[in-house]
Amino acid sequence: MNVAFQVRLLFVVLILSLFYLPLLHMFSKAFVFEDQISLHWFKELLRDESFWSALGISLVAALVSSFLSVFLSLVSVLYFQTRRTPMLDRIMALAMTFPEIILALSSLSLFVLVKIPLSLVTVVIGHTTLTMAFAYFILSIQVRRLDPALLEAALDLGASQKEVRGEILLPWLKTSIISSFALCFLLSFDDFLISYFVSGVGQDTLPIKLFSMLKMGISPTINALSVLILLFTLISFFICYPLLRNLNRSGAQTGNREMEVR
Amino acid sequence: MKFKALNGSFKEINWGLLGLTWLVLFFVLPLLYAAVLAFLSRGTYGGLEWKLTLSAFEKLIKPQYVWILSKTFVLAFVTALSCTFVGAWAAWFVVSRKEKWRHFWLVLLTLPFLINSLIRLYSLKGFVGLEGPLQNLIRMINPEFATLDWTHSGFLMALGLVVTYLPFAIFPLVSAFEKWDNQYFEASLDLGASVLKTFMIVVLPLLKPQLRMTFFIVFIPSLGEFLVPEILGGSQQMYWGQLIAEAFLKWRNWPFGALLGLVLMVFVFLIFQLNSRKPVESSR
Repeated sequence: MNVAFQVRLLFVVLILSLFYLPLLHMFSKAFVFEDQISLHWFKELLRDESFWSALGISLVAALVSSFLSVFLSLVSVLYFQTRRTPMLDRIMALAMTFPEIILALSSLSLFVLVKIPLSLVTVVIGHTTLTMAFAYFILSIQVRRLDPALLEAALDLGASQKEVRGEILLPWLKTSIISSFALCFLLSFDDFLISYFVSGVGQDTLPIKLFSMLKMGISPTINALSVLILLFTLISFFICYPLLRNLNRSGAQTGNREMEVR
Repeated sequence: MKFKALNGSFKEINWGLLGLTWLVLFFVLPLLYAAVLAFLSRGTYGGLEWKLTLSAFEKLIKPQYVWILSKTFVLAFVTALSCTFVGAWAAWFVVSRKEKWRHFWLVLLTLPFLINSLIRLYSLKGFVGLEGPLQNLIRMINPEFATLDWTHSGFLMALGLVVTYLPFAIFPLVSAFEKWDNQYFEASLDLGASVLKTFMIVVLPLLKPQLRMTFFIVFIPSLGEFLVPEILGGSQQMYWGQLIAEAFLKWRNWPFGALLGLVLMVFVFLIFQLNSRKPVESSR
């Protein structure tokens, strides 16, 4: 415990308190009703029918869109394999860093132009476009960690392309597929802006519901709702955390192997 | 030809193009259409007229919009700069931990990335904003403290933006750091440089290219930020992202909204062109 360490630790603890103290504060307020600890606000929230419909819409949109994103990026990765794909990479990078509001406004204008009615379908399309790049980069980075010589060897030894995909690439990508699905799910479940632009009337997702509650004024039910969403996020994180960790470790190992080969 | 054996038939690659097709249909085409939209004019009832005009441009050239644009740029710049510095500091801290603790700190610092940004902003508002515990604490020490100052000066918004985008900055910086040997930093500390000095003259220069990239990873999305000014900004403030949403959803003036988006797009493309030589993988 030297001074240098303490100085750095102090700074990091400051950052962390900026992240976590507000959440704790909100947490504590959600459980207090008339100066007593109670679940009053949660009960009130759970009685609200619009909460349940928003939850349902959010879940469906997140599930379908992350399935689509992972499927589409998996197909690209499986068929391009270890080949470099500069064009695809650039469009994906663009889709990932582009200000979300531009994606939202241009999707809205196109949907109206081609007369797709604003509904759950448009939300799913928007979320898929938003999250696909994240899935793609997780998968393609993992695939490029694989030594191309392995694939060549398999082909030389008589494996068909189909076997290469099914018996080498898919098992190699297993953890990445799960973690990219989880990430896409969370991104879609948390997305506000795209849903705000392209969701149909009366088909609010959970973040939109939260936003309109915020705009109406401060009500402690918001705290309860936030706590529920937070718990949901944390639970799904801790489910996929061991997988992510595993992914990191296997990546590090292959990295070391590459170094040795060189 | 190393990859010769891997090149399947043309039909094989066709399947792989599904993802690209999706992006072209739902990302590239909408962008192009939005660019065209900016040159159309608004019909009497909020619809569109398929006539090329510059009416949206005439509306745009007003001092108030130039003011909003420059305000947005300043805010995004401040955010990106502070995220880069704070992120570099945090990444340095994480990487210099022992192997088994590294993961713990990294998770703590990046977990907020997964939490809904609305919730984070709302809780931040409750904590730091009007009548929050932090301001009450400050007022106990200094009774003269004026609560509204933070909202009006944009301090609250900058705080919100940093909290929103910091995890974005920490991810790439940690992976960049892992290439460097910790001995560099320890040597500097052992030889008597202070922590701050080590940070400024050893850590930052080593990371220069990654810092630049991190700056833009934060700068680009915060240009179009809508939620932060909407929730943390005062009612007097208006930023570019809010202006776009207003034009589209409230005024129903789509050509104008599309033009506002186009202005943003032009800047983003310029930044992308300036950074295009960077390999893509290293960005995450």
